[in-house]
Amino acid sequence: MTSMEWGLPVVAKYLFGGLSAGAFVTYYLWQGLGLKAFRSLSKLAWISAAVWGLMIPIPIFGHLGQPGRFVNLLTDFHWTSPMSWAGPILLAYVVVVLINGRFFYYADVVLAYREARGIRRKALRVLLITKPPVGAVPEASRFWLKVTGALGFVLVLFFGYSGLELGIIPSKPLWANPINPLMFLLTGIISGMAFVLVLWIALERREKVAPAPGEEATLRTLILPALLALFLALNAISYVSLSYSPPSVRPAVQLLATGELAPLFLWIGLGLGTVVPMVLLAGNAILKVPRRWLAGLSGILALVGAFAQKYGFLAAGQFYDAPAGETYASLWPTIEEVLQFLAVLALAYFLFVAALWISPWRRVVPEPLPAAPAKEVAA
Amino acid sequence: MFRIRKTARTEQAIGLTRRELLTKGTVAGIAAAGASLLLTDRASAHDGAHAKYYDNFPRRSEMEHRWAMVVDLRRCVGCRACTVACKSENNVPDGVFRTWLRFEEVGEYPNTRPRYLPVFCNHCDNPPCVPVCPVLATYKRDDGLVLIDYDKCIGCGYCIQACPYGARHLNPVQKTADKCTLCVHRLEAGQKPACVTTCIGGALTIGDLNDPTSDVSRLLAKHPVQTLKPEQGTDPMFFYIGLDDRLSQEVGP
Repeated sequence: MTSMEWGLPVVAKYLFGGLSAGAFVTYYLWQGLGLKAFRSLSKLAWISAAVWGLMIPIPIFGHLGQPGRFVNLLTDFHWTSPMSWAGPILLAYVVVVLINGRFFYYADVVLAYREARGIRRKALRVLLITKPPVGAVPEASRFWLKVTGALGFVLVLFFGYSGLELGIIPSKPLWANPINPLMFLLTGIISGMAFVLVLWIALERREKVAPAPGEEATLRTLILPALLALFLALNAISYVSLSYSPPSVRPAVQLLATGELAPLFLWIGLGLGTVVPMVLLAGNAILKVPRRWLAGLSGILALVGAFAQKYGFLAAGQFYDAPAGETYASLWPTIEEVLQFLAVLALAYFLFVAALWISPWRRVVPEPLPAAPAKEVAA
Repeated sequence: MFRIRKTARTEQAIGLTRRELLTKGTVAGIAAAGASLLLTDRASAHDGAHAKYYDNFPRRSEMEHRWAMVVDLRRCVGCRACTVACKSENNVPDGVFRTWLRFEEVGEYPNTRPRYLPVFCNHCDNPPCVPVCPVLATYKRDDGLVLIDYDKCIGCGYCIQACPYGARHLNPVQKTADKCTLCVHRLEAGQKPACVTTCIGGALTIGDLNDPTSDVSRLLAKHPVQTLKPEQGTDPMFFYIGLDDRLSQEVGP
């Protein structure tokens, strides 16, 4: 028994890429497309896009045999390898997201900078890039906000390259499916949106704040359940198309449907992680008072589901029907891979804590009205 | 007029003070440092003493050959001498193989007989491993050999996934992709590959397709031959005599 060539670190890379892409789409739904249901999520969504964007390459360093040569990915760009696209696309994406944040957060950062002290003040100064204004805060360029936002959105669409990485390998019949880029993009957007929703609910819950009228629309939005439904439909198309694939695909499909990976892929990935949150979110939308916990639970299930689907798909694709006397690779991660994954998650957690501490992600609240002068009590 | 909540309020709002940030940061930092140590360990295993475990070869061949191999399965006795010779010649680390033998029993007991299939890198004319390499480390030379630039390879494993024959592996010592080179160092010195020299049944024949008088050309003219997984469109340069369709499909990673 050996470990799989592509295991948990590659799944983590796909997962983080999807989380960032999905968070940016969530942000752009308000900032670029003006969907009010996503207004309350937009600032957290931008932070999530930036942090997960920075995290994308980290698990890959653990996977590469020669992590010190990762720069080759940038210097040897060529079209025939989707993996070669990763360097320029991810680099451009992270830079565009960070620049976009400068325009999106400008007024908030200026105000926060004026009140901050110590390290936070220095960090906010770096985020401002230009010299902090004195007096009234000027409005950041809306033109550049729109341009960088649209550019980031276009780059997110290129994240389908991750599905293409697998889709262009004819020797792996489970992976070699033209629908893969769309599927990967879709699971990415779903997981990113679910993550932002969970983060928002967790932070709101910590403050014990009742949802504001505008925030209720966020809990009622049908976009996430619609995306989950679309993903299920694409899955159905994908597996129907597999019946036209060469017979060599059968062991992999059996592995996902009834074999060792069925509990992970079919039951957790598609059942618990896709069908259940889709139903819960759709149900929440028609409740008289939408429940935060219901939305939060759905988000967590969708996140777990995205991980399970990605892992199952990647592992099954590498499976082959081993003849008697030979063994195939273990389908499960090694202890080293699990430890690395947990450590990378710890790093992501730290980056989130730091980002939330530094950034003025909270909504700007109106200045309280001056207190009315106390009435003199008649003696 | 709007104003942002005061810093202290913001910290309180997310339930985090600077002290807490430092505490949580330290825990996360230790975990991340542990991970980076693991990664550094993997990287340094190569960058140190084993940096030149294998030599690279020129990307352009100066010889006007077109190398091909004919494997006559009727002559293979399954002794695995080719596997051992390859390991010895190329210093292949434990646990991985550049050349190996597929074995199966056919027929029904007690009327069974063994069948052997020696498997190598097929040095395909249309190699699927070459275009997918993200750093152009894998390349095909004019003489048909598909080789790896060990100084460029990042060890991502993409070529390993792309190869339909399972001919590639990640070298556990130098942490790059690795495979049969058809003993290019011997070919360039005018010698035959180690597996060919060692094969006791004379099942392996190497030669130049450009030379109509070569052993390979004569065998190809004389016998019907098959290739492994022809439907993959890789146009292998390894031709098998006596290969049935089922065995042709069973080669895998």
